Amino acid sequence: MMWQELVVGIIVLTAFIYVVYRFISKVTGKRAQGTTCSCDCSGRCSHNKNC
Amino acid sequence: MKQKITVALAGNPNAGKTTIFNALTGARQHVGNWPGVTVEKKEGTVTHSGRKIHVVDLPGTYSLTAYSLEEIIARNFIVDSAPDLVVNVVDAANLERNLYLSVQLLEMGCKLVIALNMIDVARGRGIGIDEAYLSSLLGVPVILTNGKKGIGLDSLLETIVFEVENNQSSDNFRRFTYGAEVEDELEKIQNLLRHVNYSLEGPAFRWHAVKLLEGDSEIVKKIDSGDDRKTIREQVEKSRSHLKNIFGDNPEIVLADARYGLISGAIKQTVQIERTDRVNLSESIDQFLTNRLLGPIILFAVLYAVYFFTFRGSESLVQYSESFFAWLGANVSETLPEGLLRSLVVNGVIAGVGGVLGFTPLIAFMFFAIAILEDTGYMARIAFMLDRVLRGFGLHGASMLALMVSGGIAGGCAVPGIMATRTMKEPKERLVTILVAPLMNCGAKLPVYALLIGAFFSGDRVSIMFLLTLISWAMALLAARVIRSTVLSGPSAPFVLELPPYRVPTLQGLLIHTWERTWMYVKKAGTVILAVSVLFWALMTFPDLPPEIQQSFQKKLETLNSEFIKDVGASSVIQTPQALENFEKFTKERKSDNAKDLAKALAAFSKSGYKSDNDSNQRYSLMENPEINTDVAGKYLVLRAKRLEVENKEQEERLRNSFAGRVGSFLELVFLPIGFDWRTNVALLGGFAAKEVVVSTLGTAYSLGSVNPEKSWNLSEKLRNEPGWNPLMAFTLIIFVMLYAPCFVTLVVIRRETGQWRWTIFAMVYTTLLAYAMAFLVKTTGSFLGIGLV
Repeated sequence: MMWQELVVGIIVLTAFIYVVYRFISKVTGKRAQGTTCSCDCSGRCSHNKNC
Repeated sequence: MKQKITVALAGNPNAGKTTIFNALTGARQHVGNWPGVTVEKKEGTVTHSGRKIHVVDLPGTYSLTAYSLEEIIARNFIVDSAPDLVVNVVDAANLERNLYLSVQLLEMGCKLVIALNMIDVARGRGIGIDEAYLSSLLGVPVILTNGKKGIGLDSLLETIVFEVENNQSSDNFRRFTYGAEVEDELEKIQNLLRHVNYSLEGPAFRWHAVKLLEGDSEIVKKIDSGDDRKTIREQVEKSRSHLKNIFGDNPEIVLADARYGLISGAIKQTVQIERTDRVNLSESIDQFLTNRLLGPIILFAVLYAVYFFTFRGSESLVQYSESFFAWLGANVSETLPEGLLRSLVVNGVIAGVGGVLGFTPLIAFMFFAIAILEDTGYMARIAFMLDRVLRGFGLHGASMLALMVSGGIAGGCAVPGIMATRTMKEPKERLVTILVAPLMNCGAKLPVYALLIGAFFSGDRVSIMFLLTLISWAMALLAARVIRSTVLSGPSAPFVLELPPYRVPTLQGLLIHTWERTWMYVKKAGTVILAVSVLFWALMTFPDLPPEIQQSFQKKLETLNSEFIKDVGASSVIQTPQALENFEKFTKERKSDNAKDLAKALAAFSKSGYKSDNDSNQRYSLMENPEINTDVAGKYLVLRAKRLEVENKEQEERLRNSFAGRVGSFLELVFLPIGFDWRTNVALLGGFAAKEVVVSTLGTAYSLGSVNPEKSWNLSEKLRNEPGWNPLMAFTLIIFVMLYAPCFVTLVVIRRETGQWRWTIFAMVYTTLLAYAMAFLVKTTGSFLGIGLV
């Protein structure tokens, strides 16, 4: 069952790298620079990907 | 000190602009023509406090579009000549129409003073204006003037000099937005303009973007003469057609509506009309819907209807989609060979992501209902009514926007909610709004509520959801009150709440809104939640039990098997472990689960080819006796139950031994008083990544804990049948999830918006303490009163 362990290992590692990447990009805020999140008084929100 | 000040006089025709101009400059006037055109240009000077003020009388206009020569002249002068200040002469008797120009001037980012002229005429018509409040709402000085009698002119000049000398940059243009969709498109255009580096400054970028979106011929011409014009033109066209699809109207109409919404809100808050000659449709609807007595009743009824529609409407679809993931899990289990990969796919991915995706129909229904409230304009009225309540808790009118966006009606998101506080200028109120916004019921908490409500309160889904909305508001307001009267005390400042006219929403617009938001939810499940589910699966799977413990469980199972064989061996063919294994394989193929079927299976087994070499034909013939078969089947069922007990114990040990299990078990020390076991603790830790993960982690934990993952599962059913779970426990968890630490993205945004880690930590700590205290209160009160224990 070595191949299963290998596949699982790759998937878990990829998930880990992705989560860490998301965290770092949120903390450093690179994606959000120069953008504003637009919400108006009516409570409508864009769920802008930059927010 | 500036010796010469240039002031432009702008205003509607017949607002008394020229009268003011004449009164200010007297004989010191020069009349000519604007360059290249025959429109009269009047200029004059006046000296005040030692400063020479050069006054330019702009042509009278109703707006700053490019429809007439006068409008183009007026706005070109403001944009190109950049006067030190613009005095907007406003006819107090026709405030709504006149303020339209004011809003556009604010939008251009110019320094503005409003001369509220003809106040005597307004008063004569029974119109009372609170000019101080209007001034604070618009963020610009408002001076009462009467050009004919020369009243207020000194004050006006004083204000002009003061404003110019206090050379603070004006950012009033940020005080209102056009709504999410328009703002998104404006942002795209602005970014392109910045990219091609037009010689523009802050507000001018936005103004140019607005004008391009409106299809303003002059600005389009200006942009067309620059480089990269094709890219900009393409983006503008794309944005215009996108907005047209959503709103079913041209962008210029949508933008004008938004401006009138702002004006309407400002007027509602500052103008009192004793005699009304004409009331438009929106106003007459408002008299009913925002009535002090009827308004709140209608509001509650509407909220109840929203939840009714959401839960009842999506009920069967949610069941279908949950069954689909259960079916998928069962089928994948059968397809993949036993091992780590199967466990990951079935227990990690399908149980985790499927748990979240199962609620997609519910989320879509909720977003559709919210889109109706928004697109009709009723959402703005909800904000308007709740604004009154908010002020009593030391919050700002603008806090209302942030709280509504964060999930005032379940389904928002705290991240854009916190960002919406950027329009607030008062640091204390902004901070307190940021701190309480995460207490609202964001869309990510919805699946957790839906899961627990579905499992334990299926008869009262709507009422419970309604109650949760009230609790989250009560908690947010309470927290705000406490924070405002302790760490952040100070008075509230005024703010305009926009009241756009009522509109009949277009189906296309509603569907686009619903789709965009639902897609975000699905996308999140497919990215972050998928990744976190995989990680949590790994944390709940590794490390495996030490071999000696595994062996001890194996030994227990073998002992149970041997005891069974010993017991039934004399009267059946199941005399060896091999025969038992064969029989189990046989019953599994036949899907025999109860005593009757098993008895039949035994009879069939004796005739089948499942004999081992040691089995004799004589014994197989014994199995044709129905009485013996029933007896053996009964004993076999007892064996299965005993084995299941051991296997469950082993799974539990396995989970407890995992990384996540160890952390969760450690946290049991803290969470025991509120009744959370280690699995719930792990799920709550997962919720820190994103609140939906609470559902996916519970799914993984209870799926991994199940010894029969091939069997169709449904998390709601599992929780319902799990010992230790009851309605009280579910409600305690709901309250905890509602109030505890915001997800990490929200915390990052809090850090970015407050600029300080200490407020981020404060937000995390106080919300968790509040959650713990409230959960404890619910748990102990419920236990004491004996509510929800069964």
